[in-house]
Amino acid sequence: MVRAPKPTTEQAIAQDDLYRQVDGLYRASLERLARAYELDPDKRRDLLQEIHLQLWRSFALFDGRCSLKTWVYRVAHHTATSHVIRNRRIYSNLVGLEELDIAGASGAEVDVDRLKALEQLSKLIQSLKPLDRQVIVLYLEEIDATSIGEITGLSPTNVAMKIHRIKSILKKKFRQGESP
Amino acid sequence: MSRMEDSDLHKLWQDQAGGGTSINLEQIRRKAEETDAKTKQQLMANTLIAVILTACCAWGIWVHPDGMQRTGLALTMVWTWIAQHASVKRMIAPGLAGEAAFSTGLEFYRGELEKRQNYFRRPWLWFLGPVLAAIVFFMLPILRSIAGNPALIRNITPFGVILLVWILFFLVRTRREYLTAQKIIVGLSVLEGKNGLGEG
Repeated sequence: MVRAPKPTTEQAIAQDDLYRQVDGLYRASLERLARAYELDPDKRRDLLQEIHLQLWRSFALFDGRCSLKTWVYRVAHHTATSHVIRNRRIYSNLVGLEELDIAGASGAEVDVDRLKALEQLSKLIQSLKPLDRQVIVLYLEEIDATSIGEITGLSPTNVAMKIHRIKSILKKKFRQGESP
Repeated sequence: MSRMEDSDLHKLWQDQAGGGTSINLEQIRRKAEETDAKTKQQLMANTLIAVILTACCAWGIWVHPDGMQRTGLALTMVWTWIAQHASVKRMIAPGLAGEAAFSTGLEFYRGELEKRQNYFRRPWLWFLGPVLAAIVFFMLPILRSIAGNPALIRNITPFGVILLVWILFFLVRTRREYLTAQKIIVGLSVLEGKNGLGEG
């Protein structure tokens, strides 16, 4: 149970307005984020609802200390990370970006269409540890490196290293579709 | 498909067909009410277990004249409520929204794992202890008669074996969860170390 202080009417209106604004701006992005964390459609819908709920609740405390984008992605990724922990997925074989090459090398099919490529990409993301998953999702959402650092708490060097790694993994993985 | 460029991958990811899940404020408020109601139910269920255990212990104190047994049952009652208090505190602690948004992904992940690790560090304190203490103190007269006549041990062997298997299973599971959380925390510390180097 989240015990946030009961907002005044003005605060509640501001909270609702902020939520509407964010829903308009980030709805699709949040949906993709939920896809990166949950394969099962029913569970994914629950996760997405949970993300929206947590966002709405969090806006009672939003004070502009960080940008709205950072706030939204933090709350969304925190909620999704909790989902991963709660479902004990951290105990399955999630890998780090550093190990991904070996893990992903087996059975990589030559993809011919976008749907397959997307499926491969989703599988790859779902096999990652939560923090690495955050970085790759944010990278794919074209969030700049500084913001990724702000959201994840990783240093600029660390973010740069991880993005470099992600790029090379994706390149290897998706070069397989190149026509001979 | 020819080789994918970075921009293609961004596009591929961002263009994926969404379900167009629309969530309005009314649904969110309903979900908030449902979540709170669920938490209240869980709290009530936990409290009910504590009340039942307390009632059993109180009944034991009432009917058994043995001083040691009565003291043991009284201590079990206290222990039950201490564990219950900790459980309530855990359940009503602020979750994700609000304050948590001030933490970065790294801090939040570490915090969640530490909470989990703390919980699994002391299964005796929060759960096994009160339950086993209640069982032992209730069975004290039986255990005493077995001490006087070892041949009776056969009578409680099946119960003892089931209890032992259950305890072992519980302990192995909690230990595994504890160690996994610890391993991940160590990994995060290494990352934080690299973070420090990166910023320095």
